[in-house]
Amino acid sequence: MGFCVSCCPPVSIRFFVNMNIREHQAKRLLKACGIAIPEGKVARTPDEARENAVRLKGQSWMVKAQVRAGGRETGRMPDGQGGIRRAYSPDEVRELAVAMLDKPLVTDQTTVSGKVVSSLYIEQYREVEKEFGVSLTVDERQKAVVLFFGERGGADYLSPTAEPGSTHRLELLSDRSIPKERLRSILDKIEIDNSAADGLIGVVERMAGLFFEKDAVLVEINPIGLAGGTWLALDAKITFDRNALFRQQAILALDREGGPPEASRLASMDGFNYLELDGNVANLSVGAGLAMATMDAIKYCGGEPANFLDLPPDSKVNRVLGAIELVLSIPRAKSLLVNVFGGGIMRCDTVSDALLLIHSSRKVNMPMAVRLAGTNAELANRRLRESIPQLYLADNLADAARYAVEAAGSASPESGRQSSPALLARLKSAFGI
Amino acid sequence: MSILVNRDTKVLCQGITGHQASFYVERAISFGTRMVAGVRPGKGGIRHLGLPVFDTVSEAMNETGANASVIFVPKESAARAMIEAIEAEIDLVVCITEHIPLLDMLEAMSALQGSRTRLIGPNAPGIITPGECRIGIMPGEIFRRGRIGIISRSSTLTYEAIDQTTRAGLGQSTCIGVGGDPVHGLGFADCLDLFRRDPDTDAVVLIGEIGGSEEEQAAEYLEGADFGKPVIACIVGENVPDNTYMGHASAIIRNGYGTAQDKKRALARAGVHVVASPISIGLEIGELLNSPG
Repeated sequence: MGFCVSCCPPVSIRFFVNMNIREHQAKRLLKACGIAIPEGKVARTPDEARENAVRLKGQSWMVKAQVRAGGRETGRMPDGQGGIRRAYSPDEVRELAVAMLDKPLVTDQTTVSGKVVSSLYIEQYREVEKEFGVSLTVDERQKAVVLFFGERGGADYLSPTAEPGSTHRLELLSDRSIPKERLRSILDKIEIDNSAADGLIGVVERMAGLFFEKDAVLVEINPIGLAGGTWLALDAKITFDRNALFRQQAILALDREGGPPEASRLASMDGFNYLELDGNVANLSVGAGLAMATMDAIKYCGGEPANFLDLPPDSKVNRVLGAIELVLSIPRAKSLLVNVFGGGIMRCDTVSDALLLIHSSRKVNMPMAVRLAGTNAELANRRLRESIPQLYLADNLADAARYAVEAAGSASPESGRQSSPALLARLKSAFGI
Repeated sequence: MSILVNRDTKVLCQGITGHQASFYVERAISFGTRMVAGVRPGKGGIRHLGLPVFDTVSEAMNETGANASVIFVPKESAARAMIEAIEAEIDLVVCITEHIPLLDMLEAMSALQGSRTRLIGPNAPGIITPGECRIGIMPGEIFRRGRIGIISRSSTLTYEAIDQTTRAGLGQSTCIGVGGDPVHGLGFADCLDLFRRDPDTDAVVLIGEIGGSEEEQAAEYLEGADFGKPVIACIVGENVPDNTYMGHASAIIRNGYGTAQDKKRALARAGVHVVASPISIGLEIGELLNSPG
């Protein structure tokens, strides 16, 4: 639902390691560990959606976009409505399905183009007496698993605009158990009776069981509603640690269920991270930090990067070759900057070998600045100088970025939005460029 | 002087028989690091790369006097390896392994709490005191002995920053890559405090990036400490588009936490000189530290 400032730590481009699943999958997992959910069924066509509503019975139904992103309720679809809607007849369920299926849903957690809705979850609408929000997640700064309980469920839960003091943060105990007494005293204060409190504590214990057993990084039920003495998971979000999937085969299978595995704009291509951007200076680096620095350098010199590409240091010639071919094929690209600092098992001659292979197989017209430093840089530069004289071999990142930006003709260094002409002049005199 | 490692540091390697470990241990030996032992459960008694191999960390420590460990154990059991080293009360653990499950890391962190061990990493390039000791995977050629301390999160960008300081005519006292994982051992603030107390470090360079809270924590530390040495920072990633971030994170970034601008602002407020661009690290440090007076 809403974003949660305190529970979801900022994740940088290098921490692309969390796996999201869809709401109906999350609810299936909750149900399997004994947490009550409203009856629901997945639909992929408008007719199926209508049929589901008839089978589920009831007076009204929720029609919910199944995308792997939060913020669906407050998100927008092309018809101006959100990704979670209520229908009052099976025919209306069908109408809503027509309006939602195969259309993009944009939320505060998706890209600007949104995620295409390829399935819907049709769920019995359930009236509840009270609504809260509850989640378990990892507080990376405190290095602990924490429980959040929000007295306001729904879109307000854990949002920056939530009423101060209405969200409680409780660290799990060292034996991974729930601080039951503290939770009970919070529930007491907001006048939840004893048996309902027992029920909620039971739900949280089951959530914790799931969290640790399945290597989750977030288990969130928001809202969780109390209906006739039973706690119902009205919405659920579960996120898993991709690094632990080697021991979570069942979770890995969820990633591939009902469509291709989760993808984002940051595509994980053949072992490297790649993102296409709007500029015309193609670039390639080894390591996410240096790749980000390379983009910053291009921008600083007045250019616009055409992409982000981060090769892992253990890349062999074939992967480097594939990565270079990929950036050369970007239609807007006018020049290429290769920036590699050899170290550890990445040696510069792996990169020069890939460049030599490309140039021996065909004529490459795009101007290229190549900056190779660190392990085996001397050898690699010598080979390139002898075999591909048209390459611009730079001795440092500043010079390489300057050349690539000028060759792309996008801007003069002095006109760069972020650059300081005086500093560039000092750089030029320092490096003799 | 230097921090954490020097010519007296005796290093053992956990997972020494692996391909990568062998490669780096050989390089460490030729660099002059005092590699004294390897650990590989079930292989105790053999020799590898001229070093005795033991079944356990405590045996290796007892027999060789090792006081630091470098871990190349695969991700599946890397956290166990860290916990073993912590329980054996070794002074320093440097974990190179990446992709360790988060819950495993939380266990390692709780073992670390209250122990005598300092942890660098995981997913870290390691630590080096030029001319004395190298633990990890940093290339050896770019360093020069000197009086600048370097703290960084990224691996390859660390090399870039070190190279620029060397070219600016400034050497390094110790360089530490704290690691790129969200949960890790020593942070920027911890390393800053070690450098503050090191008489042979005159200035510190921080190499940060978008995401996480290392830089903000460093700024908090510096605002509260009487640091007394110039600190220079470079923060990369301001040109990574916002919506590259996944899920909730993008919302967090937009809420003003973890962006390059926020980090730069926080550090500048704490008196840190923030360089204009990653291409001018060496130049600006040179101008700042070499200027008369």
